[in-house]
Amino acid sequence: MTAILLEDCPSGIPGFDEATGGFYRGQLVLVAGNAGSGKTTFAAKFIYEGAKRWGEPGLYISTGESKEEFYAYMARLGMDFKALEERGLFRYVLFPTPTSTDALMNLSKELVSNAMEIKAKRVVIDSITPFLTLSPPLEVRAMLHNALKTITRTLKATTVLTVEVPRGRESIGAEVEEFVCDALIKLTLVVPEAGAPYRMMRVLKLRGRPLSRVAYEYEIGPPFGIRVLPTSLLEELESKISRLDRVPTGVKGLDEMLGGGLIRGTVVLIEGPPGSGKTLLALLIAAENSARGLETAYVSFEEPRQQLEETLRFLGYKPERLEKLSISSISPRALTLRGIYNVAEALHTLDRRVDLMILDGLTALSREFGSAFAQVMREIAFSAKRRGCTLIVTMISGLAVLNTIADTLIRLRVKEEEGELRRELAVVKMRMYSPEPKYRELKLVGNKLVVT
Amino acid sequence: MIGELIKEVLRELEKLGFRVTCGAKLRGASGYEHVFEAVVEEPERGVVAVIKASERLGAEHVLPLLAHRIDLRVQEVVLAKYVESEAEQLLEAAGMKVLKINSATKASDVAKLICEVLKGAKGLTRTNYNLAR
Repeated sequence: MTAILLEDCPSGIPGFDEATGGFYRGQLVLVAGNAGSGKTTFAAKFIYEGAKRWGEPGLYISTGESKEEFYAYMARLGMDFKALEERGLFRYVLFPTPTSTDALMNLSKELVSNAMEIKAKRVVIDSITPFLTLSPPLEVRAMLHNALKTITRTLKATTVLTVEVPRGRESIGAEVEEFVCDALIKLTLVVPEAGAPYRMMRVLKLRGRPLSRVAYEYEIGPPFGIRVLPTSLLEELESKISRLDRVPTGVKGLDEMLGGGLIRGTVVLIEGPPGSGKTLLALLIAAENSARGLETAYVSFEEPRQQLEETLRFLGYKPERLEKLSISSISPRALTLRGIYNVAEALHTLDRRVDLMILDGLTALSREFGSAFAQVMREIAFSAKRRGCTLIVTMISGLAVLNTIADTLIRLRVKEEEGELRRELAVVKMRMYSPEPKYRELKLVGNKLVVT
Repeated sequence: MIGELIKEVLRELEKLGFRVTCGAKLRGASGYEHVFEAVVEEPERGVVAVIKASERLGAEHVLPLLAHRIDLRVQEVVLAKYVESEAEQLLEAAGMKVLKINSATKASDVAKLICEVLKGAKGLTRTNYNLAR
């Protein structure tokens, strides 16, 4: 008996290959999902990464959108198919919606002639649903799959087929596909009753690989296009932190306490009771750094944007001139846990890379979501570190997990002395530096915050 | 004309001891009835081959032909005057036999070639196929 050598064919989808091991060359992969679940993006990313990273020519047969639409949409997700086409590594074929049984012959022609012409190593048919509706007997569907499998094996091309699963239905196609295909991936767009939708992926079959029954969460958006989120918190953190690379707070005295400012790319927790100056301090750091040219995103979960802008004016800034500062205000009631993560991620990916992110008023979120909130915060913090983004969060009293994740903990307190309120501040913890272990006064001098 | 040549080839096959049914339908595992130019039977092995013939064999024929093959699991011989190399390559890789014929081709030579192909072919017995004429 001749041993069959299985050649790896990674999908190139961030997180997917790490989680599953990826595909093998010549496999027939079925990606099933409901509308909006990201089947097209999955298939496109598979082709794109194959061509870009490994020089494998890709053929994309679509029964849906025009080439122009496809290119434009994918460009927004960070995939430049036009460039690949110019290099002869990609071909897009728009297949008219099949309406007669001749469709099978036409599909055959497009698939065989194009795949062989460009020597395709990756093929996508997006989607096979219209073909399947043409073939009434269930067995004919199986025949079609078998024929496609034979072709792709012969071409030694790994092929991804997408198929529509109506919302609310659990089974895939006519339930024959799972026996024929080498891999079966189910994508689901989950739309909760309130808040942001999220996406879940289940790998129901992956021939040649041990299967985990884990449901993977994945997201769609630039710059990755699609990526599977890590299921384990033991993921190795990647960061380029240097203790000498500092982000000044702009508060006289505080930078001295911090040894020159916050360390870029770290997580900073500012905690303190109401009225202790958390928002004031966070806003000032945002304004100072955006004025210095850092892309800064400030998200408040407690105060309206207009109110924050007024506070900035009080501090002597003109918010309309702070071009690098974006301020948004989001009601916790409008969010799901997933939505919180999405908000933080979207800040990074919408046309710019955020250098400094401030999430103000996490107490409100913590109240809304309880202990599960800690998990989301951990993901946000890890994501920020990977990107080299400095993350500042504020809350009344830190969750235990936040205290652990935070590299720097700045604690504020309000003391009453002889009928007067006195704000104080201490750097309780600072990784990579040894801060002075004592409280100092934080006060407004004119409209400037200073630590004395 | 190719049609005449095919008829001659089929006659030659009969001379070689095969039973040939023209325009026969063969029901596959799916229950679907496929129509062929001819179904070739042998007394001991049953159906040993199906024959498809066309002027031209192109990329558009690959998927439907493979679908037949998978449904019937019987040796398929395709006779065509014009053959696209990519179609030939794929079909032969899938175990089908593609024979190019033209007006100069001798029917007896084609029949002998088919006979060679069928030597090792596994037949479909009466119990696992349904031949309708």
